[in-house]
Amino acid sequence: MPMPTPRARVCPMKKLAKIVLRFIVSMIAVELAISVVLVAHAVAEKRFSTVLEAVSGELLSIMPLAVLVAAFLCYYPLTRLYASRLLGYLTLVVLGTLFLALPVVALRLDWIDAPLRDSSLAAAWNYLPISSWYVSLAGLPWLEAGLSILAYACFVSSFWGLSRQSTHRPLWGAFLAPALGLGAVYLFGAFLSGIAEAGFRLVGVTFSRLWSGTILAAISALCLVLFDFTLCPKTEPGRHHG
Amino acid sequence: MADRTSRFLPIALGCMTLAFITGFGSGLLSIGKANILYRFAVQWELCVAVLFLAAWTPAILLVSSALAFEVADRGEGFSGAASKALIPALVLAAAVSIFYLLVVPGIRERKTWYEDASALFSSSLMDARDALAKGRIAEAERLLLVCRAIDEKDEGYKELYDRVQAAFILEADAPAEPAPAAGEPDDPAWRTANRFYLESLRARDEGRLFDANYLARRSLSIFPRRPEVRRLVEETWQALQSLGPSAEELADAAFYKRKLEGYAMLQEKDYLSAFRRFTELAADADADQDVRKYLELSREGLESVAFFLDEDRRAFGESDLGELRFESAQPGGRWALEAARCAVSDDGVFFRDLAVKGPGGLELTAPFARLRGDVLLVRAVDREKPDVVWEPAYLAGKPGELGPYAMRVGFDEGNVIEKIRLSGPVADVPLALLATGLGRAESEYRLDVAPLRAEFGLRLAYPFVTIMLILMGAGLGIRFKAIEPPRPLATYLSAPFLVVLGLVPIQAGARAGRFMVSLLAESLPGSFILAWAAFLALCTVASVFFAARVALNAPR
Repeated sequence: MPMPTPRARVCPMKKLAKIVLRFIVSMIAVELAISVVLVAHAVAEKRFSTVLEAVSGELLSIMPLAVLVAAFLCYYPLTRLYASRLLGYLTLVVLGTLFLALPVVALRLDWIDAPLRDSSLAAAWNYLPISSWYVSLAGLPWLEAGLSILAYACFVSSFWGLSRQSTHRPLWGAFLAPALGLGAVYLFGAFLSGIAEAGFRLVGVTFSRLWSGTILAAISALCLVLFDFTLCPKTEPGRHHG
Repeated sequence: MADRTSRFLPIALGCMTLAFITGFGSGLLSIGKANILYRFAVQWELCVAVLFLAAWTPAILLVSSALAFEVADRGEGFSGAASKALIPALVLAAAVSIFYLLVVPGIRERKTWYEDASALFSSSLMDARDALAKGRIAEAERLLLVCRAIDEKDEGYKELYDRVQAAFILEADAPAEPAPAAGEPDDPAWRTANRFYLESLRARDEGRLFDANYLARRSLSIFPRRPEVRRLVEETWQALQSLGPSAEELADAAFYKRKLEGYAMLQEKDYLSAFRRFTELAADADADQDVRKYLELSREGLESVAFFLDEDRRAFGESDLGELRFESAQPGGRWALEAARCAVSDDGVFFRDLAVKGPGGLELTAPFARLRGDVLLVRAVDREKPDVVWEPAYLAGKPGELGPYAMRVGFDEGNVIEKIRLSGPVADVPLALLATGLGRAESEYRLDVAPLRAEFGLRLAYPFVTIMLILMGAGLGIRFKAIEPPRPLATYLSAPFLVVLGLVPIQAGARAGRFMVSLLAESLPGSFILAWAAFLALCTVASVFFAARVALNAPR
């Protein structure tokens, strides 16, 4: 009988690099898959004068969705990488903030010149509030735009704990994650709609629609992280799958 | 292994049963809001349940496949497990696709009809109640006729009908007014009855007492709510009794004379007059063999120049399809029909408030019309009171070879039915018509075919999607195996919850699919079907590789 071979240990930094790579590849895949359809639609409707203009406009406006999908796809590898949940959240928030902020910064500093406008996706998937929010960031003050992006990054990262609820039946996780992702889109869209603003006004505080959404996203993220630290299973570094 | 292969069907069939029950329950909860008539309640709820099942079936297939493969042998891999357990899944996918393509559109159409008929019934009943409250009794009765065609057993209808009849009796018992002013001058029955009444008065004044009595009775049978007519009947009958020969002998002689006149009308092909005469005679002597025979012959003849209004009411009771515009360019000229409402039944296509434009500057309107084959009839007769007739009004042009009440148009009822179906809700159009009628919809009926093409594309996608979902479910089940295989009870209990979770991304995917198919239908009108079928085939192949790739990372 052959001797069992010890499991090959993979360097955590290498694993982290793989996760970052997965994040970027996922984002690109989402951008490509959706923008091929949207660009064709936009060009057919003559909403853009050139294909390049259509590509850049659509790519940028669906960035929040791409970041959300990429974050959700990184939950399971992160569970297998970190023993500390804080590090996992930090990784997700940094990646999310970075990729959301980069196009906005590039636009503000005129590194690129893209016609930011609401995505065609808005009409199909109730994505309009998020698309409008992201488009508006390029014209906002630095602090306001930065905090708003950070709140969104925290919001999409905070669902990580829920993905660990299905350790004993990974199949549950496979079905839960897409539903949670779509739920997150609807929830953030609701935060950015007038309902949140009206809710704040009802308790005697007046915020702009953007600030209302930012505050609610941050509060939701905090609640979900607290839920994770109190009720969700811990991470399992080194586990084969989850 | 045997346990594993047998799990797909129990899970799928169990979830389908649950979906049907849930659909039926949701129908029960929403029936009040939908305002469905009690008569249609069960059928409507069954339709809701079937449509609910159809909407949930893709998610059920995905979950059943995933759960069945979740307990597949470890280390067997995608291809090994798939070859054993995919057969029942694919057979079920085929059955479900056939059900969706052939049965669901008809169910959807039926559900829409129950809702429309219930709404029409309720609005007509409400309007009738309003008309009665304002003293417009004839209008209330007319609106009640619409209700009767839909549900004559409804308690609300019966109660209002009794009130309307009571109002008529009250009106008839009211002090008589001068003859021409009494009644409802707009009512064709009143107008016809009044004509007989005036003729009867003239006959009485000229001493033709039998004719006077006969005409007064005819008037009364057509419009029974005029007391002065009833008095005239009694007065002329008493005058007849006082004559020399007995009234019975006079009546027998007159009966025979009228039978001969009716026969002569039939010989002269004056079918409407003959039908009126024999209907009248049948009311007096139903057992008379001659009367029955000639009544039947005159009815057959009459059908070539008119149709009976009860056919129209029956058709509208079965299907009220709203307004219609139909144009057809024929070698003889262009025909255009415009109707306020239309309905389809086995007797043909029925129109209300029809405007016709035809070759040679022909232009006419008709309150009722029927198209059967390629013959359009524009005269309607009340079967019970054949003196009441709704005739066309010629605005321009002259009647054709078939006379003023019938015309041969260059198209037939099949073309009109096809146009009605193709211009209705696209989801209700049968698959066969979608497949064969797209060309005609564009070239002959001038319809916007992009939505029809998109609907055809969506239907075409259903079998591919079910296969893709089963393959993906298999991949997910193998990839996300639990460390400890779940117990059968846990598997069965988790299935409905997973179906609900699976519905969310599937519906989002369906929206994306609709978006994609609409885009292709608009941008590739010529080669849409080919491009879409190729795209679907490509997606199916991709899903095989995707499922195999996902399953590759399964724990061993």
